[in-house]
Amino acid sequence: MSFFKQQVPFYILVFTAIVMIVAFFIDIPGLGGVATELSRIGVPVTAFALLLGGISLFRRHVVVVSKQERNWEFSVVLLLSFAWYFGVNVIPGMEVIARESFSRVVGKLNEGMFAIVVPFMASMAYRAFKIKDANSAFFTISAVIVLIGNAPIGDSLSPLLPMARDWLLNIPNTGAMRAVNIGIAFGIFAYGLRVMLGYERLALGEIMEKLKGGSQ
Amino acid sequence: MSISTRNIDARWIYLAVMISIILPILFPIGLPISISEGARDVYNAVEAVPEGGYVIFFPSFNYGGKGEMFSMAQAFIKHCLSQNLKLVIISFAEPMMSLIGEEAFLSVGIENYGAVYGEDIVHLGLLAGGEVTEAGFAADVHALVQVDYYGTPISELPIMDNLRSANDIDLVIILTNGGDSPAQELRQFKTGFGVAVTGGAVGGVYGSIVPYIDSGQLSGYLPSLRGTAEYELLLGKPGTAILGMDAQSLMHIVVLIFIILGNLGVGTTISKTGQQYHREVTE
Amino acid sequence: MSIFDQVIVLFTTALILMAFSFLYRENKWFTLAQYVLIGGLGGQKSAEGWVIFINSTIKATGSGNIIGPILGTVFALLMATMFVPSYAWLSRWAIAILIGTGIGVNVRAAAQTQISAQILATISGFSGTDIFSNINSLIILIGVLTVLVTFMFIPKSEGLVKHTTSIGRYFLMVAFGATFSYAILGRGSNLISRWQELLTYPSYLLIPVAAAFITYDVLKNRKSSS
Repeated sequence: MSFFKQQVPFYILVFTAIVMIVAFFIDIPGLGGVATELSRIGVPVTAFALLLGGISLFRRHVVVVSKQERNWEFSVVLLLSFAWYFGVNVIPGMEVIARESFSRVVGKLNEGMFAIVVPFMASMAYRAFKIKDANSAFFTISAVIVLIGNAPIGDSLSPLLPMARDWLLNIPNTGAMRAVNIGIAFGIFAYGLRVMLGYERLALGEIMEKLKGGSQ
Repeated sequence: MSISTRNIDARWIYLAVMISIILPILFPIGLPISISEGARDVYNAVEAVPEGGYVIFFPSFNYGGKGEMFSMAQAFIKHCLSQNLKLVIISFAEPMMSLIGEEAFLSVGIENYGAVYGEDIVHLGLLAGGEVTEAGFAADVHALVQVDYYGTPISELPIMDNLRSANDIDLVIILTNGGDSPAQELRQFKTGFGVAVTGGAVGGVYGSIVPYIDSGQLSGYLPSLRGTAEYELLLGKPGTAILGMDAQSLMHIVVLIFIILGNLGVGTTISKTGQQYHREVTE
Repeated sequence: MSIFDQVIVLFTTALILMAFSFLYRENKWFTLAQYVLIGGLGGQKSAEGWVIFINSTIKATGSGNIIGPILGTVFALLMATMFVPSYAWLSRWAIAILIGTGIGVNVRAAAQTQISAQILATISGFSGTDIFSNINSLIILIGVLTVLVTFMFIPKSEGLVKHTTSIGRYFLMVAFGATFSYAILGRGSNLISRWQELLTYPSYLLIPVAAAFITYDVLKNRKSSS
């Protein structure tokens, strides 16, 4: 039984990863089709995971309401909101109501929630953008140049401002971010290799340790 | 030296930001906007697609980024339809992205461009699975997609007849909220099949995407609302992006003023011993 | 605009103003708006997940190829076993497929897209004639090298490495400053689009109501503190 619980998931992981990589580089008859089918399997699995996430949220707040824990009244509101949006989307014939009620209510509320970040960013700029040393000087001056360069008033004040913004973005920023992107790519390789060799616990948990006899 | 002994309550800063946005909306100024090379590159990338060519459009942003990206989506749809291109709208990440994609093309009014749903434009909805599903889509479209967003089998949609794989695609337009885009589209479409990739990003991630523009992997990319405003000017179809730029100007000026005040020491206080230290902004 | 549409607009405006009230101070109205949002997003996402699951399994069998839909259904249902403790180990099979395919597609093209193309762009920027272009390319090259050294040698900084990482940090500070400014541009757009709607009829009718609530709270707090 431990073979099915521990080793089979690991072999599935390694097999699917190798198929996807080899199919990309080597044109083996049939392998491309297998890779496509594996991609195809991912669609219902990921979609079902979305559903399971919603079920978890629903379950948690049902418990809060039943035990009348802290803020249980708000959990009632959450459950009603959840039930409405789930219902109008799965009941046939209510597609227009589903689309309209989401885009006109929750969609706009979602935008509003993200929008309140801006005043906090302004407050943070007041408190944190202080030139105390070389690092903060580079940070603040770069932020100021890009701020003015982005605003249309910068275009009106001087054509040099948008040019300075573009230079900052295309030259020093590119140098830094290119290194970051290269580092990320090396990280992708390293992490993928570690997972395929069994050095990462992941969601497969203690399987890896037991396969290697408890060592990492 | 004492500059000011008053602490600025953060809520006054919030109010100043709000007023800086409300005033230009009520009393528009109409400041001119210059057009950057980046916006021209994006415009030219769409213009380069031959008539009847396939454009895959990924509105990969959720409602949190709608304020800065929705007008960009509308501008791209208008441009593609006015060029008589075949537009395929699809999402691989979040369910809400397919809602936004639908909202975008409905708000444009495709009939104004002589386009017919199913022949010139189609909405395939969400194919959950992220980059894995993108890879499958690029390899074999009909294996991954059976129905469109409204449940119509793709065999009944003429636009899907000649779209079999990424080899049939002329341009990928990706509007991203962040995450691994557009790197994953570059991996799956550009590197794998040589398809041109362009689009736009929210402001916070644009800086990390510039290296891909510089290396030529991206055929230009629009930064947030500013890029959209420039693109709308190039198209000759002013939209909501241009309307918001006056408010952007004043808001940026207010933020700049607060940065200067912070550096001048406004809001600091001198202790009895003469040592200067910064007081925390109190709520 | 019909009466029903106006009611919907006013309802949404009230929720948005409740969200904005967080800027004044944390309060129960903001919490109410927050829970409406979480419930709405949760319901919408799980419903769409269900619809996509049906479209990619049951409805997909009509295309003739049934292997993918059947296997997809099986693995999706295996994932549901995570709610049953004694059978939760079955969900690892589904998770293993997602992780394996994800690693495969990420790794296979990353070298060309994010490493070789980027390195090539860095070193091929030098042209024979244009001095300014060569200076810019040199700055990019210095930036790439110093930032890479910064990431690799952060714990140990002495001598030449210390100076190199200092320069790398300056490049990173420039990049972060630019990113912050673009973030203000981006998030500011959200706020501007909200206000563009709030300042239209009938939304603006609720703004004095919200202002009255806040004024009342300010006066009440002043009274209780004095």
